[in-house]
Amino acid sequence: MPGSEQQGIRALGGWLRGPWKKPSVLPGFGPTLGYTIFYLSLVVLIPLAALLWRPAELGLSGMIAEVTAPRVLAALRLSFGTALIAACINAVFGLIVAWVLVRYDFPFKRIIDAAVDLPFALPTAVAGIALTALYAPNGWIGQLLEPWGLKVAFTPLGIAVALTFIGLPFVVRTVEPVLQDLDNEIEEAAASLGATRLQTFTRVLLPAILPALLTGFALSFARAVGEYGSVIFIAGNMPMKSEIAPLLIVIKLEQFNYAGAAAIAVVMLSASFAMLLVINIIQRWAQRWGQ
Amino acid sequence: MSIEISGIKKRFGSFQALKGIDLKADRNEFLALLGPSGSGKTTLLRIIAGLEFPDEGSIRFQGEDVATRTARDRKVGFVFQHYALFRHMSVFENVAFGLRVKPRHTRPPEAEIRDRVMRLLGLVQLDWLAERYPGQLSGGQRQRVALARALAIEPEVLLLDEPFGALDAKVRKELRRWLRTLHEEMGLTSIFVTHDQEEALELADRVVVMNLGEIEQVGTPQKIYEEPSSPYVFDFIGNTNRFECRVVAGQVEIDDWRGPAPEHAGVSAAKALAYVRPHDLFLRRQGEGPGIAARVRHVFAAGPTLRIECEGTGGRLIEADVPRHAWTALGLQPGDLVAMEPRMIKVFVEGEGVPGF
Repeated sequence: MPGSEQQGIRALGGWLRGPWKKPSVLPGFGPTLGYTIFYLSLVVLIPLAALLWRPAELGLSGMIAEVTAPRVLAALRLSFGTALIAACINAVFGLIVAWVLVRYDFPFKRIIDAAVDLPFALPTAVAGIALTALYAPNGWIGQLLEPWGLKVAFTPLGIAVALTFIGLPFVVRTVEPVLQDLDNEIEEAAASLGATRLQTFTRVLLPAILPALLTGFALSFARAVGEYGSVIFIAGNMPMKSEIAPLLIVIKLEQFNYAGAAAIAVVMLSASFAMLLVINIIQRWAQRWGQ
Repeated sequence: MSIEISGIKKRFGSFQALKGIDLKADRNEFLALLGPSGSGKTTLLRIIAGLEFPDEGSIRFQGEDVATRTARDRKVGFVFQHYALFRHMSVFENVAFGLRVKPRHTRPPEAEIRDRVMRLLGLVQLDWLAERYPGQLSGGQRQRVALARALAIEPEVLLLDEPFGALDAKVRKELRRWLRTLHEEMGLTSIFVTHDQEEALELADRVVVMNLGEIEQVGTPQKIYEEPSSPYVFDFIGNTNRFECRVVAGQVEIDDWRGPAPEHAGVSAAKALAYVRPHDLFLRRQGEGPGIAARVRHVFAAGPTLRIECEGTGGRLIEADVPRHAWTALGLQPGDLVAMEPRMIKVFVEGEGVPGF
């Protein structure tokens, strides 16, 4: 029967296209997916594969020895520790900045709004030198802190300052649109139900912006882990004390120890990936109401 | 709880939203604020709720001045036009919110919260959706959640901003009846805002017609429908025919037709506006009696009465409602000439201080 035959062909076609493809008014699933995979391979996957390949020549024990060297461990600890601190600071203060920019009108608001993006645009080396000049013991801010026994430049504290600087826009720019979308009415509803301002913020507003805040936190953290340019000027770069992992990689490269450099990179990559994964899972959970 | 409002004024920048409002809602009364957008009805409602503060005037609940109290302290149930549900909370938590934020010494224990919330959800027939999130509900269901949430704090005053605005006709009708029952059962004093005259007339004990920040008329639905106090209310409430006409020596003149206007006996000659409801127009063939001359254009034959659309002098559209049997007896066709005699007419003379001219 021709009718059932046609049906069979149609069913086969449907099966070939796979269960993940839903009928859609916009064509082009094939080419766009193909392009995405090709592009990702070229730009991300192949370099990453090479990165994994390179340290393999050390052998597993050689690799472990390379990354568990005290100097490497200290650098990794410093990099991830300061990045985490900076991301936390940015989550709090970035939220405040975004809040002020969305909620209030004040003179020079547009200029301040534009200034938030400066860390994106400024060459990181410029930022590093500027911060160093400010926070050095004879700098404008440094000389004020010196009598308190607070040294910023050439210490881990200085690294955290630089990382906070470059990570700020990530939090502000991810939280801002969500804050803008929040309906004023939900705050009024909370107030009319008897909630205090603090209760309104913690129970109504914060849960609504938490997913965006986590995204901003993750982006800020990821950027800080990999940051190099601005840090090396302010860090002082003393091994075991203020030497960040990316710098150590560069040092190893300069010594033609490519495998050693790649080994540290692999550790950084895995750690970053694991942390971003965890943040993503928390984010899913925080947004469970959206599904 | 009774609500007394006197001399309320509110300005937003250069826009005078409310120009001195006096209003009283008795205990257990159901009041509708009716008006077009920009008439100030929502502003008035928000001022009663404490979400907005008046520039001048006073608000009393049960004789007690509440003007300086914030929304949090007024203990008023407020249902927002777009429901304003907390998206990240389940339906249960939304309703429980008002109980959970109470200060520790007045907060009911967890078991009691659970009981009360489930009872409220039962009341709005949504207990089976308690664990869902607002995003998974239909418009009508969200509306009922918003209502349950507002009722959880056991308010004596319930304020609703366009409560049925975003719902389809069938759900709206159902919810309306249900809200009326709820209002009576719980002994609430309720005020709702609407731009839908049918809704206001059907639901409320008294209707407050607002225009441009002022109250045009307050009265029972029947009074508002039968005796509108100004051209504005006539235009806004119900279907009506409006004639620009003249009053001469106590008589109203529309085209060649003349009728009595005893309330304007002292007027010798003036321009005027006359209003006639479609069901107050009596139709007959032209030449068989007095009436405004017109020609039948369309007959809409759905329902127990027929709506006859006629064209008067100068292309003026006149609508008449005619009972089905009467129309059959007339035996008219589109194109026929008719005389339309007003049986009830309300005339407003220009320059008598009538607003809305």
